[in-house]
Amino acid sequence: MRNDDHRRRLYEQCVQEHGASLYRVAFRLTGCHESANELVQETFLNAWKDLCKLKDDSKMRGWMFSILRNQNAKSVRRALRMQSLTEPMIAELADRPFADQGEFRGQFQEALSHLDDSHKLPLLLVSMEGLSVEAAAEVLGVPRGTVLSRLHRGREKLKTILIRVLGIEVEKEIDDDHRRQTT
Amino acid sequence: MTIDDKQLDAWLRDVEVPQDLNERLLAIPQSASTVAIRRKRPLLFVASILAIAASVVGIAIFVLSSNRSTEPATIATNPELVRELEEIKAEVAIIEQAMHEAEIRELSERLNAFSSEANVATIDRIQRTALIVSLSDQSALQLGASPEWVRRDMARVIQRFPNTVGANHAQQFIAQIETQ
Repeated sequence: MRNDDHRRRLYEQCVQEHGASLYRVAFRLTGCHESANELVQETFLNAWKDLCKLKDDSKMRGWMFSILRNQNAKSVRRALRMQSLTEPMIAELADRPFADQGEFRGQFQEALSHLDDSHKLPLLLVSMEGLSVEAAAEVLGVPRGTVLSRLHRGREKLKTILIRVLGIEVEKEIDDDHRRQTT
Repeated sequence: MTIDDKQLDAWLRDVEVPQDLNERLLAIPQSASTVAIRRKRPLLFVASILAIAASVVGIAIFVLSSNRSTEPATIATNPELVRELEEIKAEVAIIEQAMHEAEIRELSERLNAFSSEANVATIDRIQRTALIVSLSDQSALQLGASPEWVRRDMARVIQRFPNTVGANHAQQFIAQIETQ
């Protein structure tokens, strides 16, 4: 059993070293800052409660990503169960644009949302946050080869979507320029 | 048009992280312990009530068993027994008063905590009443009232005090009960 001082020091170290990293993944998973904040807070709260269960401090990073992943799955299930959301509220939420929609960041997030979690998570953990393929395999509970193939497929799929989105944007800009010139 | 892996990874990493993120995350252990204390408090309250009630029952059993006859006529004519029963009655009144005060204290603490968290320090009497009723229902649930009863009572708050902080709180709490 860890003593309180050690627990607190470990927690602080975890916040300093992995807070931003977990936030970035949370944002890519949820698509908005509000939900990312909530998800990261819940992840750290669970980490604080279960810190005594972490046997090897060097595995902290992977352990935190596992908590985040489980917490995200729980939040999705909870959101699906929510009975108090009425149809107009759902419609309003669905129509609400991203804060930075219209800019590349918004389009990128939109493109990413077309990927399912099995392809998205290896991309976020390995490509975005630099986890080793082995560590990602441990977080995701799948073999190393599966991570590699999903990583490749996820990348290619995302590129295809992005090219399509960017292509639409280029055409739109040409149209706008054309309109400006003709008026 | 082609996108290389390096470019893709750079775009993936392009997420703005809030400046105060670490500060908020570092505050979690403190707030977690406050929540734990708040959750423990109603249980301590129940435990103390049960302990007091047990001692009253114990005294009553002792008094009644130490007198062979408990017939009303006997009690009425036995001055010592009457005096002892009067003492028990007075004791029960003190306990009732203590319970009442504890409940008021508990509610007042909840009201203060809620108003500082929700930043609703200046609300009128009706709003305050609605909030107190809904907080009391929340307390009742933690003390073991049935969720169905609490849900019904909170629904009444929403109906009687529409568009108030209390009604909003009740609404949120009902939603919470339903998801549990």
